[in-house]
Amino acid sequence: MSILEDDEHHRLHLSGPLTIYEVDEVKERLLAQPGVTLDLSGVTECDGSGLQLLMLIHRDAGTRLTAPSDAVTDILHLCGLSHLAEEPS
Amino acid sequence: MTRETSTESGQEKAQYLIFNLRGEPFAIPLLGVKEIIEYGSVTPIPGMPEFIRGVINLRGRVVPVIDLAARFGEPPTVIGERTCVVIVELHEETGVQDMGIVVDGVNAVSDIPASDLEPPPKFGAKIRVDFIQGMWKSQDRFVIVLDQARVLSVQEINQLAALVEDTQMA
Amino acid sequence: MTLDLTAALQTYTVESQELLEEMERALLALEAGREDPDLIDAIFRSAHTIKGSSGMFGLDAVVAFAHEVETLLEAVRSGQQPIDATLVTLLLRCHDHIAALVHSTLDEDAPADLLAQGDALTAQLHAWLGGAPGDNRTSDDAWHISLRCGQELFRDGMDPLSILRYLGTLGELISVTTLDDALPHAERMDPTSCYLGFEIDLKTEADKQEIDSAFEFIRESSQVHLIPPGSKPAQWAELIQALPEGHDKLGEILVSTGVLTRHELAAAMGIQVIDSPAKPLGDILVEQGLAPREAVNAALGRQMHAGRTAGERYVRVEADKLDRLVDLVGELVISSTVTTLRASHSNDRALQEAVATSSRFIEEVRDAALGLRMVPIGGTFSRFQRVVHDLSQELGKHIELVISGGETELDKTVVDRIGDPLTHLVRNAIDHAIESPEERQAAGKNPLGRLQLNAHHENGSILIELSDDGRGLDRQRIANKAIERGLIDSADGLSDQDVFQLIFAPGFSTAEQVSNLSGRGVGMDVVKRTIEDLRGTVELENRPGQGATVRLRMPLTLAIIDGFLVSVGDARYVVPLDTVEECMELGEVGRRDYLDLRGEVLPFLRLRDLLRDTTETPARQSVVVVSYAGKKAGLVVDRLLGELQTVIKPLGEVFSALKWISGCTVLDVGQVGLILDVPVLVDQAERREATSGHLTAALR
Repeated sequence: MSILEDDEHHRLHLSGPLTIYEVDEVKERLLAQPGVTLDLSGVTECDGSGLQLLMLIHRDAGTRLTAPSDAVTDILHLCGLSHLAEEPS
Repeated sequence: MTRETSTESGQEKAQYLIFNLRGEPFAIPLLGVKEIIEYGSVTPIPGMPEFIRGVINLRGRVVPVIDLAARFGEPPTVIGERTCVVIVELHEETGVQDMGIVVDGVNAVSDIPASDLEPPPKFGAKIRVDFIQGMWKSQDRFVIVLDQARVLSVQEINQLAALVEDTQMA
Repeated sequence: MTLDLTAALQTYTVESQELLEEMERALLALEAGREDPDLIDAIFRSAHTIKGSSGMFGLDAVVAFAHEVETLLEAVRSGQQPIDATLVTLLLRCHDHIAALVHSTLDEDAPADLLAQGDALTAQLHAWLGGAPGDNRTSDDAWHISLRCGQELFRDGMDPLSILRYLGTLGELISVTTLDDALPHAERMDPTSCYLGFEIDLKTEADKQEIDSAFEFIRESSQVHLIPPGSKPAQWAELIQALPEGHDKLGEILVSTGVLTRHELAAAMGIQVIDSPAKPLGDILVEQGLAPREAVNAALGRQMHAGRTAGERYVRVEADKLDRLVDLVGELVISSTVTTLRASHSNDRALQEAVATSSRFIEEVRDAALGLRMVPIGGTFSRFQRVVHDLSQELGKHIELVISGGETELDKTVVDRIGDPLTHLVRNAIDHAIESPEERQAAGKNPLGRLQLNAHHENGSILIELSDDGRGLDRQRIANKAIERGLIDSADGLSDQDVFQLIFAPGFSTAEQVSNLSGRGVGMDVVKRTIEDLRGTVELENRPGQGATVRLRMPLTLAIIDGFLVSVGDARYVVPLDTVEECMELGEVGRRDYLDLRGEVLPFLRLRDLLRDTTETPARQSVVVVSYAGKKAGLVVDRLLGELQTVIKPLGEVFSALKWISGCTVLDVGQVGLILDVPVLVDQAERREATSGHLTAALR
């Protein structure tokens, strides 16, 4: 898992898996930067705890979720949360 | 104190408070009278018409006090032993307003049947005709029943006060 | 209509107004680009609650219209209908319409044109939804599954998503709603704990055992409710009991659990409207066979529970009752001063201590009572978002409003009365101060204009500031206009501040001058008068080419004043302490009414003359030096009696012509003391001399 800052577009790129093993670190990093746009196109795997974390930062840190990878799109659809992430603009 | 007009035997009558002013009897409806207090510690308010004697502190509320005699254009009441202040409640458009009126003494409460009220004389009373609601013959003399709303019209008092203020400040 | 119902109706309008304000705030936040499902929820909740309470009063028009709005919002909430600027604008108009409908309930029936307007909006709402509003009832033949995950789930190596996927293999997942109600705020949330909840509708051929097997490994730690198709009412009731907090309204619960559709609910509310307001919604639902009694009772139980927890935080009290309380506490303070005085004359130490303790409590009671009247200014401020939105759109300007200090508390009377003058100032700034985007660009400014509204405490008063980054005040233009209007002969010798203050002079702006936007029947003179009535002042700060700031300074509370007590003859007067600079003895003065204040010429007023006091003038008199708005003057009085803090009482309608008295107070001896309005006194004195000066000059 990695979180890279993209200076040009002022957004963060989250890559690799987002599962129970990563959520602690990801939570800390993302809560420290409220209001950012988070690019999810590099997320290879996402479980329930990953989804829960995305819901949290969206709700409490105002993080905008964008460009969900297939793995993310799939679970958002499954849970009736497709509106949570935006298509890339 | 708040007994309303009763209609015994189809006869409209109401209770009135009879009081003395310079030796003459006057009446106002008892309905609006809240209490009668001894005259004392009136704070004068400068710049007001002469008939406004000032304000008193009535248990924390500030109530204006009107000198009725002066309001009728006569010399102001001389404070004596029997002088008292009748506190009346006025229902103005802007809300309820308490006002005190200085009188030379309170005589009685009387039932006056509406049919016994004579219209005011066109002249001769030496009081503005619109201040008089009617005349009531009590035993051997006439009691002037006042039109309280006119006599104590806050709006009119206000206009008079503004006039005094303007002349003083000009 | 009986008296009771009128009172209830008033409560209803007040509450609806608050809900509408919340709805407007949320809509404007959406428009400002915030994408937050909470906002949609807030808007939905407002519309829904207004619909519900309108139903109680038989306000069919409101119910019907709010229902249409709610249907569209439902689609937005479920993600079927994306929200964009056009939709927000439509919803804002719907908001206005609901507000107008609610307002019209205080009169008799809603006027016809209002209803016609509603029909037009309804048509637009339908257009958005693409035809008639559809039912969102879940299929009759689907299983309903409620799942509340146990916190240990993830750590036990389980994942609710896997369960969902497995359920998907059993049949068709008709709908899945993921709930974050149990998800704590970020700081307290442990990412490895599971807080999720799911409401699932599953259409399947599988039997209960098969479905149940999906939850085999989590049954211990989690809550699972399975409700078969065509289920018994008792099971629905059980489910409602188990639902998380947040879906509190009876109707909401029944709809979200699929017992009722929105249409059935609306129909039920319609029946309630016609029948009588006394019949509870629940009874009607049952009578009409729309919902089983058990389900209704369970939902009602939850609703009452929710109502209680919310109700504990606020109590609605009539303002009159508060005023009466503050009045009485004021009396208490006064009488306690007398008690303290008496006790200090006695030799009883124990009594003195007891009195000291009780007077300390009394002071605390007074502070607490006054605190009850304090409300935050934020509610008033946020109203202006809408004003700015509408007006800047109308004028083709781009303006953002930045609000700060909304939590600053001030007296309710001030908050109530400051709204209109502030609106006028805001409109004025948008209309006149901030330039068009083109002009701004040409001047090298950001085309987006900026208005800042701020409130904060300063030296025991409240400062409300409205700043714009517009063109600033033009001394020359203001002076010319004032000359044109005959307010001044020439601006020579006037300070900038004096010239700017002319804006507030009566007759400065006239109907043909003011555009219909900032017009609306109030001029800047009314703004100033209102502020001064509230014992406040207005200051202007100019930044030529860069904007201007209007500063309203107001007392924290209108109920209490710190004053300086003086006497003239037998009468006592209170000079507001914030205007008092210093006191001194009146020494030898000449014929002229001024004295030498450390080399400065200080004109003075003899209160004795002004008040036409006929008592004998004492041999020694004192001077209270007062100042306001940069002017200084002396007030000559008989005696100085010291500082006091006292409760202000209005002098009443009868004395409203007396401009130089701002109120009165009951002094400790039971006497009434008059509170002097220093600015008026000084201004009147100035005006008097100015006119007589002119006269003498003319006669010469």
